[in-house]
Amino acid sequence: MDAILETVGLTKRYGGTPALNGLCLELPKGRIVGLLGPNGSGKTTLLKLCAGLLTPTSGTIRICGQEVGEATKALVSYLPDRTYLNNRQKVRDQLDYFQDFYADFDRSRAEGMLRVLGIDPDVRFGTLSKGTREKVQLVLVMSRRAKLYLLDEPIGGVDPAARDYILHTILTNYDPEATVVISTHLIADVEPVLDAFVFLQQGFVVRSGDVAQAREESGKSLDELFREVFRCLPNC
Amino acid sequence: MFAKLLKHEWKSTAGLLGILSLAALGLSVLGTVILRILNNYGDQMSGNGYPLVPVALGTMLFFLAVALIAYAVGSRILLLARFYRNKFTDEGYLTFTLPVNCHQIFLSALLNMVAWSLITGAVTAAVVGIVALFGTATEGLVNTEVWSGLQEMLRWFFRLDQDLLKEACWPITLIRAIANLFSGHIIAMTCLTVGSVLAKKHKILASFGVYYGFTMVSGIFTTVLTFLGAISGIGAGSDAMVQSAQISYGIQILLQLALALGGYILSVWLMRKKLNLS
Repeated sequence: MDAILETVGLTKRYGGTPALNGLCLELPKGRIVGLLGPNGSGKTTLLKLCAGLLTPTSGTIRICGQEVGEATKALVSYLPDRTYLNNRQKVRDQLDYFQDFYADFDRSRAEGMLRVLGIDPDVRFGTLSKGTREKVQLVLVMSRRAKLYLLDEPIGGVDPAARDYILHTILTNYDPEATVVISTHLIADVEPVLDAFVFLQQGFVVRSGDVAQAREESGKSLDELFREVFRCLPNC
Repeated sequence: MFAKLLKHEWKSTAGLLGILSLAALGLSVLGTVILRILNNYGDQMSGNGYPLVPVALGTMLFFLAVALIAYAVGSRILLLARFYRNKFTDEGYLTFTLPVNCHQIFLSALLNMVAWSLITGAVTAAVVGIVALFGTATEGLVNTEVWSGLQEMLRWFFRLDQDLLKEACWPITLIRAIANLFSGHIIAMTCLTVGSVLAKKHKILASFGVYYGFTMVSGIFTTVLTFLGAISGIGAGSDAMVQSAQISYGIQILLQLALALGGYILSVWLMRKKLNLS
């Protein structure tokens, strides 16, 4: 298996509080993976570690065989769970920014998506509504030809219609050789696009596998399976 | 990539600071006009029953001076605010996921700050110089007394250092100026980094606390060094005093450079290993 992302004994502690506990995970290329778990299960921490925003307490992370650093940041397209673009800049400035720093950024694709969404590139980012800002961020992130997309709650703050658009954007814009990791609570919404899933609980992988296979074996949807798995666990 | 970082650092600050710099230069014209009116017609206006006009003009002049100080101080605050916002708030999620290293991130911000400090300093000096030269002239375009005084002051400044430091005047003065310029910014940036990375809440307040503690410690060091230098020169001949002053001056420069280097290394390490954006 050609692993895009591989973690071995990955541990992250905030002070004395563990967020990830010796996590071992291997994600192959060409999959859309749902990173699912209750609050505080370590989803965001894992994505931040892979994006290079945090340093592991112990253990290793390899992306396309390389340790996280300058080189892997060129391969990873990361969407955090918050608005991270400069509010004072115009959308066009942000396109320039991405084009300057990411060799894999496809500007014409980004401009095309903005046109479809009816977003004027000459408006200031800060003047856009929350949902539109999230769409702009997603457009920028998905317009890269990255090897690994890390999307943290991409549909968390938007209306159902926008959710459909975002999921459609993810499905139609990622390279089949790339892997997309989607962290979310809204399992029912993302389930149709997922190939694989990872259930996280208190920094451990409690279950993972192929979505279709899990559905077939359990006779339940991923959403139902999630509720069942986490209902069975203590402190849940 | 470093050139691109520099470009975007410059781009993000050039708009606002450029406008402020042009406005500050505009103040020099306004200040010159007001000062010339006051110098040439102030007494006349007071004598002709308009005593409030010179008072109003004087007040305007005062506020122009305040605006100039606000420009000089405000520019630095804006640059530091940009550093904080771009690195340690939500914008940091983009900054630290760019395919660049932390040295490049820190250095690009530092060089942008240094460039703007030079520009701000040049603009402030130009405004003061223009108002002093042209505004205080009672006849003709330029005040010749101010002009010759300015020349004398420059001669005095360079002679003073030459007397004190003999042949080493220029290089040491230049090194000191560069050390001051860079270390001032690096220390402020380091305090912001330490405060932002280590504090969970009230990061700016924490940064001020770090800065206060740091200036206290470095102030004590500098005072001790100056004091020791002065003591060692007492009772000695003039050559020994000059030598003692040279050593003290040199140590202060070295201390400043060491602090700047230490601050730089600490900041980059914190950004790389202890970043805590949430």
